[in-house]
Amino acid sequence: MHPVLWAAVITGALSVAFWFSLFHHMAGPHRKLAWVAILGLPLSLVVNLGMKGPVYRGVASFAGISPEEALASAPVWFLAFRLLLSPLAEEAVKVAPVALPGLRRRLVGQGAALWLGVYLGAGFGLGEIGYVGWRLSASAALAEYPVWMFTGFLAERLAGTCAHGIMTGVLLVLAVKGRYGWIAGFLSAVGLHTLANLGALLAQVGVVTLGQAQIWFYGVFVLMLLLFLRFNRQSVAASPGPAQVVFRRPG
Amino acid sequence: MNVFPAASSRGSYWILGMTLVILGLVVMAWLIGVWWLALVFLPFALFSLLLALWLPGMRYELGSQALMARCGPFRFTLPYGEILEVARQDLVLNPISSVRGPGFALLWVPYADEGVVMMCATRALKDILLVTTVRRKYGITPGNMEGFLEELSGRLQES
Repeated sequence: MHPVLWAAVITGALSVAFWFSLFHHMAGPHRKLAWVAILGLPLSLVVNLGMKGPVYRGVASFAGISPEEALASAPVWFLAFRLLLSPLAEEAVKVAPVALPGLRRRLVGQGAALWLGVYLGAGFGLGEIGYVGWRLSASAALAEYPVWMFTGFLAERLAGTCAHGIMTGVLLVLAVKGRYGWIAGFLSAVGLHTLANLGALLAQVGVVTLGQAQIWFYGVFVLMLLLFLRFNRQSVAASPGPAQVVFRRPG
Repeated sequence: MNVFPAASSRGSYWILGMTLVILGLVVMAWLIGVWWLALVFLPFALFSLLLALWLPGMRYELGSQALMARCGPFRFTLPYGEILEVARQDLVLNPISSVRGPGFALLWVPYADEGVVMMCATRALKDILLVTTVRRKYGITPGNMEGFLEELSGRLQES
């Protein structure tokens, strides 16, 4: 088997073991929503092959740019399109299962919204590990490297799985908040996603180095984690778990 | 004074495992010549080792004036008159960690639902006896929970 596929298997296993056990302890009563991650699993393949790929090739053809061409010479509007394509398409598709009546009914309150989104997004992230691994396995050059050389892939996809969960969680938390909640939520998730991808695009254009792009990504990831902790604290405070009060001092 | 040992846990084994990992880092740092890094890791290894030794002796003492939670050199005194509420509940994890792991939680531990709780417990999340005082919240896990609660309730009613 191609070493990058082994790396994908290891990354997927580590993601499930680490993130889902962490989520299990953090989610409190909402941990029973974990099964929705299964719905997110195939969505990366669907959006990449069914939407992003054809749209990207179509726009590149319209612009007269070969998809394989270096981006350094591409016009700014094309760079903006490339930067926004993944966030717009992926944030939309990640949240699509909420249209199912069974899930829609569960979208009550900030806690349920947050964890429904986190599990859906993390499921998407897990599927993306497989998709990216599959795409990279087409490279004969990468087949010469041992599996332990793919630690960069492992670390980035590990963080990416959680990041996808947080972005969808943010989207749904804002979606349940008010009249224009869905718009605010979608724009916020797309904004976070764009911010996270910005470093990689700048590296492809040659503005920053790959190392600087990685630092940028992990910086944005830390910001996402802080946002996630804040939303989770708020949701837990809004719906405290059952407590058996043994003694309470009067007054 | 009645003494109640904390519930048994496998926390010590986890901490010993952690100690071995940290000692491994110390040895690696020393071998590659980064001796200052070894010196940075060494106090953590020592603290982990001591923690593993202290944990099995964790206990709660119901004295005439106060409840005292003890683990090694750490002692928390909770005068009965200052206790506002005692509740038995599960706590929700906040991944920003302190001295906490499977089977142990000690000192200031942040939780998503209760904020920072002063823990002296052999469980980190499940079935914690949360004692709210006028100053802060404490989390404890007596082995004989029913017996402890009966005794504590009696003393709190008298206070």
